[in-house]
Amino acid sequence: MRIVRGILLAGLIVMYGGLCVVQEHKALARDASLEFALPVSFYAIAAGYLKQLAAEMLFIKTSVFLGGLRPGTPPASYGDALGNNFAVMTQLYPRFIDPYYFCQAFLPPISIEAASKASVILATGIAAYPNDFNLRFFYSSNFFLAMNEPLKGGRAFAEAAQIPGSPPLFAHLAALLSAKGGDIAAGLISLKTMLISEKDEKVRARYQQEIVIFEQAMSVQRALNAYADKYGLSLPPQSLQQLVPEFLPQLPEIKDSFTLVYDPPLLRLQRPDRTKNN
Amino acid sequence: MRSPLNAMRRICALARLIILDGLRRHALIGLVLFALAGATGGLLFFDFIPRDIGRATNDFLFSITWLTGFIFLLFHAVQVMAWDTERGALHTFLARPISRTEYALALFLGLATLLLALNIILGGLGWGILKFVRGSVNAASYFQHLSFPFFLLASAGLYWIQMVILAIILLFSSAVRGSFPVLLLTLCYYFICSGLPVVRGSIKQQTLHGAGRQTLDTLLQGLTAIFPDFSWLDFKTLVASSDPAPVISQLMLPFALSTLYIVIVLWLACAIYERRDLQ
Repeated sequence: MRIVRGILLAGLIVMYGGLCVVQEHKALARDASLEFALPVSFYAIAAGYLKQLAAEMLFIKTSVFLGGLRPGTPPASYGDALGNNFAVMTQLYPRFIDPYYFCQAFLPPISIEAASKASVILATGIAAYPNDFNLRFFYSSNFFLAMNEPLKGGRAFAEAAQIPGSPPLFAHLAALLSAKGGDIAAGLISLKTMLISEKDEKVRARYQQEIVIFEQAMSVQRALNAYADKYGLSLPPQSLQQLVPEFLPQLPEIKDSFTLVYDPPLLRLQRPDRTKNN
Repeated sequence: MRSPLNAMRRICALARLIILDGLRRHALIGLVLFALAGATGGLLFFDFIPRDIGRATNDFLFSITWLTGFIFLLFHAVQVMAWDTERGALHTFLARPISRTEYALALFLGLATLLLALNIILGGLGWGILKFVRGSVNAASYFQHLSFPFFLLASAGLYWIQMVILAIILLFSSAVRGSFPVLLLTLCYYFICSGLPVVRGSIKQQTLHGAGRQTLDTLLQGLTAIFPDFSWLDFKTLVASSDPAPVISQLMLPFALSTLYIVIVLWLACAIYERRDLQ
């Protein structure tokens, strides 16, 4: 009887081991999925004193998922859950810095909606760390790199440039993005402000060169304004050539570091898209 | 007439018995080993944190201490305090020349002392682990801040929260028979304390947008006096970060408030013990 029991137990153990192996094979073949995290209030209530740890564990779970993604997985399949989870962990623990870096790396390239979600998440980070230049850079650059909203990017960079000790790059990008977004006057003001505070002669020369170009673009903008005053805002010129000679003696020749782009009724001054030449 | 000195002696004697009973039941060593295992497992956890290593390590260690203390409160303190007929400890102690108030205070004192010892041991271990982790990473980039005074402050805050819950367990034990109901009531109390600030935040937002009700907000404010917001005593994020330090008044107020709360709850618990029918 004891031998029969032993054989039965051994059989059960072998069967259990076999099923374990089958399950593990299935688990390896199964695509990982990212679950939506529950709302922030749930974590705040359930975790209580441990809410910071809950945010960190959610971050780890999300980063492990990102690390284990199979090549070729469409980002749209997990974009919503990713955005939600980053939002939950950052609202739960705004001063935990890691999610903002992962959010910037993974969320904006997915889609414009995801980039917009990333902006909201990064705004939480900026509220927690107002003087963190990395977060400011992520937030501002997202607008023009992922959301095609250079004007908002320019404003965000202009705000970041006001922080003492901010890199000069911020003010410069604010000027360039404002002009790209159609607010050439704001860009010109930023450039002139930077010129006053800049000591390096080489940089000053570059700013002066850019100011000349911006002023040329402003002369075109003034001509457009005069055209609108005469013919009304609803009938903008179809091309800049229509401004000559009534409102402008001739169109300025913009150097190759910038391009004047006219999308009626918006006049934009932008860097040439070098990626198209390659 | 009983002199206060003699009463204190009796309270201390019974508290000593409760401490010894806790040690005999491995309440301390078992939980220290549990916390040690948790902290060791947590060292794997830090591999997944690329930047904010100091903050995450500190949060994790305080969380382990909190969890260990919570287990102590729910599974040891409740068992000791609750009035279970099968244990009969209450009747045995009260057969001695000791009043019910002295019995209740001795319970609290003994368990609070055990809890303090547990926190000191875990705090020492936690500080050692923090120093070790800081020494093993590039501290300038990943673990810039580590403050011992704030570590002490955070530990004190944590202990005070545990003391509040311990006092509440005593109150429930005085009013309700059996350890399981006391455990459930304590859990309910804790979740209400954690949830109330969240609900209040939500109501406040609705009120700002004109949709909330002022009376409800006032009612919830009153409830906070009964179910205190423990986050006022949560200072752990200050230990390993550049978070702005609170001013002295911000530090003193939560401690003073919760001390008064503990005294009032103990008073109520003793009053109930004095009037209860123990049959």
